[in-house]
Amino acid sequence: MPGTMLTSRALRRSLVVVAIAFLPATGGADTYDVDAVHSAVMFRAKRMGVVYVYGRFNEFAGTIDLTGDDVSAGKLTLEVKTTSVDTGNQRRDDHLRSPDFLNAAQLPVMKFESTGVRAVGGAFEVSGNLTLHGVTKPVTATVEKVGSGKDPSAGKALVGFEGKFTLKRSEFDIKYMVGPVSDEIDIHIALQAVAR
Amino acid sequence: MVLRLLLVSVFLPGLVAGVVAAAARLLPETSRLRRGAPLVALGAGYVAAHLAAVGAPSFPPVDTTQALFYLAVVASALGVAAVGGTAWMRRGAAVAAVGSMLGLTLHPLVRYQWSGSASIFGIVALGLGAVVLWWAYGLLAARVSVTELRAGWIAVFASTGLLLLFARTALLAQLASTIAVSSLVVALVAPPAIGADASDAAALPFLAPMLHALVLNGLFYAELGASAAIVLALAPLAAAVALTVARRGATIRVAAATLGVVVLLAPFAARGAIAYLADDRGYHEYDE
Repeated sequence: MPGTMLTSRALRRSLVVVAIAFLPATGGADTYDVDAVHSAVMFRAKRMGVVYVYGRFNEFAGTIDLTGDDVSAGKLTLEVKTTSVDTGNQRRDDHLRSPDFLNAAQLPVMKFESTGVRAVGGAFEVSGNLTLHGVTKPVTATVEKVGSGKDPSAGKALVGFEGKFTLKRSEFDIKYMVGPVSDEIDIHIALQAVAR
Repeated sequence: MVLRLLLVSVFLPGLVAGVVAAAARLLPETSRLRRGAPLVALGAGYVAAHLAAVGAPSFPPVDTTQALFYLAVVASALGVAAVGGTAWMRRGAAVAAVGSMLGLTLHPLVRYQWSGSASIFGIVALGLGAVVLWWAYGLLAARVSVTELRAGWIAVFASTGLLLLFARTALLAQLASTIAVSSLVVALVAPPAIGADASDAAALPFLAPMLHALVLNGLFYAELGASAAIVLALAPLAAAVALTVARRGATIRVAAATLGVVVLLAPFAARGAIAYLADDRGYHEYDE
């Protein structure tokens, strides 16, 4: 599969770039690594205006940068492998990976980098840039801090967030079959992150 | 969905290509645009179909599917520019079209996947292959009638659409099919090829790079197998083989040109169809 090598190399390269860019900005902040085992990147699209079809991406990595409990100064970077799309139907997943939609062989990484956090009531609005299908657009997610604690086995600090936003896939140049498959895609992300 | 597909893939490209080809009949016989009318008509038909299917592409294109839009424009323009030109002008335009096709189709592989030496080898090998095939298509064009040639190419693009659908890309399949439809309309409507070079009359400077680009897209970015890709690239030459058997009768020769392509590709289409139908998980690419 040509996309596999492409994916891992591009992901490694992107992670290095993100890590280097991240260093000077972190100051005295604590960096948390996203724990993919206890996290989820999910989406839903409306089919024929009748039903929501749900899916998820199984492979992703990222970091959350926090200064104490001050979430509003936090930063989030998340990279998702588009080849890992999973809707519970192999044939639909192959189609989503194809040039008709995600074109995962050519564009293997979807990336979100936060640019600002604003407290709104008990939740937060996290603004950032989403790169999907080779197109970068600003998006704003509504995020809730679910909780924090300590990993009982490793003793490391844990923090958990859940967030959601809606994007228009046509704005990311994924325009095939808009109508039968909704333009609006709801993204729902649940993250547990572990302190380094 | 079926009505929308028919509209986008059949009626629209057919209408646009037909209007352009018919309008060319109003031009003087010596006009370059009239002699290159099939190239312009096919390019316009493709552009209309692409816009209707997935909208206007970004510039620069974000992926090689979007790049097909620009390749169609470049191939048509280069083809028309070389109409009535010297042999060297035509060769230069062909090399420029092959270079554009390779650049627009292979850049993700060169950028992310292939090593430096693999990139050089891949580009040189595929470039040489594309040039040699184009040269062979041209030899065929000089030996058969324009109608026979067009019939063979219509069968090639219709088959390409089918094999790309079996390769799990409904979009590329749709785009290949629009070229078959436009080619059929151009064959019916375009002005008689008086004074035009046979390869221009059959629109080879458009058809050859578009076929190669679609096949390479299917091979590298969808599930088209290597053997099917090679046979698709060779398929236009099958018409010539068939015509050595069927020598007499205009209708028989046109049918033979079509049949030659169909027979060559039938085993691949059958294999693709069996795999496609066997993998029925309640989801079909056109259902959405």
